Amino acid sequence: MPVNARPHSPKNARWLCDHESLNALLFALLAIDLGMGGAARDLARSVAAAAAHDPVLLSVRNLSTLGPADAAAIRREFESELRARGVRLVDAAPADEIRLTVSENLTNFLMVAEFRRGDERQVLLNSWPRIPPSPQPGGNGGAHSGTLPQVTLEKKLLWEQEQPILDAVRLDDGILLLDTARVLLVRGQERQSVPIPPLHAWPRDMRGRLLASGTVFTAWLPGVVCSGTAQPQLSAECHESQEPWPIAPGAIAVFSTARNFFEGRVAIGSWGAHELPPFYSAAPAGDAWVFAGDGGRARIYTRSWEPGGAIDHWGADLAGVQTPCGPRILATRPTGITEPDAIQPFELVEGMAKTAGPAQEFPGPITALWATGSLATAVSRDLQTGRYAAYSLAPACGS
Amino acid sequence: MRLTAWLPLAVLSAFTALGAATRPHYGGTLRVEVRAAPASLDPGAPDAALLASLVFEPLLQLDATGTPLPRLALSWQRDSSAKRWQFNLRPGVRFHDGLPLVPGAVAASLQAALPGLSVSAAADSVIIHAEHPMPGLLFDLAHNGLVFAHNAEGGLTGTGPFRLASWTPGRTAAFTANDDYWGGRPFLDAIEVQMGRGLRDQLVDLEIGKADVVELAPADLRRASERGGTVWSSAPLDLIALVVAPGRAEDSRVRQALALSIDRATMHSVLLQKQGEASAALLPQWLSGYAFTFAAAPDVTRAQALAAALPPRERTLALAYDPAITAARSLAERVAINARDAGLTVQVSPQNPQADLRLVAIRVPSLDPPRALAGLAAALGLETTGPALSVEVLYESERKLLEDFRVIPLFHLPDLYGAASRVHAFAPPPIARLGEWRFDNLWLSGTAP
Repeated sequence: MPVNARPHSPKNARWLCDHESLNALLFALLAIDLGMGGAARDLARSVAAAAAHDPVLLSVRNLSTLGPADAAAIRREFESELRARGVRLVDAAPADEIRLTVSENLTNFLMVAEFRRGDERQVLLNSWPRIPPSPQPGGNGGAHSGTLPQVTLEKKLLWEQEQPILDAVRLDDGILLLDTARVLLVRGQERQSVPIPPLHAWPRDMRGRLLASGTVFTAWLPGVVCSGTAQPQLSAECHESQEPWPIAPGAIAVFSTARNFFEGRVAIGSWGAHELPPFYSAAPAGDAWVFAGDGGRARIYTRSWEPGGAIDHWGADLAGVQTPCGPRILATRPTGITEPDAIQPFELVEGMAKTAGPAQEFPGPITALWATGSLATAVSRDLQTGRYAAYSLAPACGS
Repeated sequence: MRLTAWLPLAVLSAFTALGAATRPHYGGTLRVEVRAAPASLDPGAPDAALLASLVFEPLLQLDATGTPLPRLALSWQRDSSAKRWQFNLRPGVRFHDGLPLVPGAVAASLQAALPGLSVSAAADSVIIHAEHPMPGLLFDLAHNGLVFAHNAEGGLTGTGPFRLASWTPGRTAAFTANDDYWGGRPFLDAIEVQMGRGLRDQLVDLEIGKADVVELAPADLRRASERGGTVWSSAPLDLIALVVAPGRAEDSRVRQALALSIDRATMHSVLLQKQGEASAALLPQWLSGYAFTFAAAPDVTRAQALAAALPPRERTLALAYDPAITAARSLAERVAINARDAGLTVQVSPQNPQADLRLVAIRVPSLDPPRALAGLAAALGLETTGPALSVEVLYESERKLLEDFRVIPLFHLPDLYGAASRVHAFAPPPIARLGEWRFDNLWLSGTAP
């Protein structure tokens, strides 16, 4: 943990540094956190001693990541203490000058007072520990278009957390989430989780799938399948498995155990099994299927596994969803991982992707998109906070 | 001057690089060129540090804000005096030869990397004990604590995301992805490194598509990014300074006159393309927080007065520079021009052993400010300082080291890299704060699927 430096004069500091036996005691004292205000007042006392009662011109600048409000608070505390110590602050020269700089290093915020009197210059410092900024709650992003869309997506925040969320499903009385280390049940104020044992090293850009039926659920992770129940207590058993993942009702595909994509072996209801090029995601589209592959290109296959064209400018994540207007494809944009993404409904018409409604915007990249029936789940990493948020996407039709 | 001031370049570059990306792709070979030509991959060899960061890992690492994060250590505790630290090791980690990571191997590695500290192994942890408080130990470990073991052939093996596949000393190295890496197999299949390549050759190879990642001189930043490539940078971590040779320039007035004559701002703007920071301090601003208090602006009038008071024979100095230092000759010649304005004559030549002054580049040796200052002082031939428990004491130590002008800091410069447009970072930054390569999160477009 960062260590606070209790302020003391440079003279005393040198003396203490020369006396090793006192260092441990000093160190214990240093652990007392004076905080920002205390540090400002303490530094002001040292500066007041140097300034005596001469008029002083004070300037303040902020080189740290502290915000303007904190910088202003530091200035108030500093000025207040100077005045309380009899220092007369003036607005113009001639006067002694104090330049107060708020700065920082890896462990501490610093307050540095440079005191100038003619050619003399004295530097006085004080510090207090840095506290990592608290992540802000994720934004909800995205307004609906003013036009009359065919399908709109109602976005609802399910859960957000620091760890990447792989999938989430709504239960009758709560939410079940799959992340890289656990299955989490959120039921009102109640939280239960079961860890996913590290049966082998997970791939980067890890993905996972979670499906629930009643209170029973199954989670698919690369090379691992977990089965469990949410009642009466959350429980799950995980084992290594090459079992294919469900990619849509009646369709399964083999996911790579050490990569972030489906290997290409796929079986779709009456279509039977087939070997395709590797793909990231897939979605049914009437009599066809669309498989998202490399570089924002999605490949269309018709019933006899015949190539039916390609769609460019979609992202890597697709999902097929039932809407009151009929089946639609939800597709991400081909953006990068450092840009906000959006999910938009499309309809496949004669091998062409036609927009079927306005895009739903997200505060960061989409890291997961799955659908079951008439509901989709999307996970986005908020670019401001770095937190992952799972949303449900419910399609509505007509307005 | 802000802590994160070095980040925008990397961040901006990442935005441009990832514009057309989707999910990261697995596969492909990254081709890298570097100037260094280490004879071995020993983590202790200074010029092997970058390559070693592919194979060996520390107990912890720092995120972009400087917060320590678990790596080979899952957790850690310290006593109230910060003299005794315990690091609990991540279970299930294996060296590249298949042997498990055990506390004994970790303790042996750290003992070699952290002289002066006592490192011992416990059941599932290692314990580090110091005679004095070590509040900055985590930062030191993040940079200097690479863990290794000796394999059956007597070579070194690590736990990192890449395995060493071949090594031709000083010339080429090949690394392959560690499929069993605890943090997930890297996206890349392999990395090929050409060593001993000059900056000019590297830039040409980047432009003609022979290399994917190369080192850059500040003057080449624009050229490297012109063709859709990206630029990565570390924090400013190389101290560029003038060092007076022992027994030379004994009259302090000549040293002070020279220091006061130097126009760092112009050199920084023109010769270094505003990369890094102009500084009159030993520690960079992001590490100390107070570097700006060391006056870096020239005072030519005062320099002239000091020089005028010197006997004429004392006004001439010989300055040597190492051509391997970024923009060394240009900087040295500019120092000579500034000195002339003050009434001093500085004769510039490369690698003159008889020179009064040397232009040197020294890497910040630690992320723990007191150890960094002590390390820099030792490398510069200055009296090593004792442990500093507070920022105030550290500042005072640094001020004393510089007060006689035997060392005149000029700049802190970052490591700069240019990357081809097909190279993307899944989790930036690809270059860590102290320059370590984080290439396990790089991926190449144009590979399957």
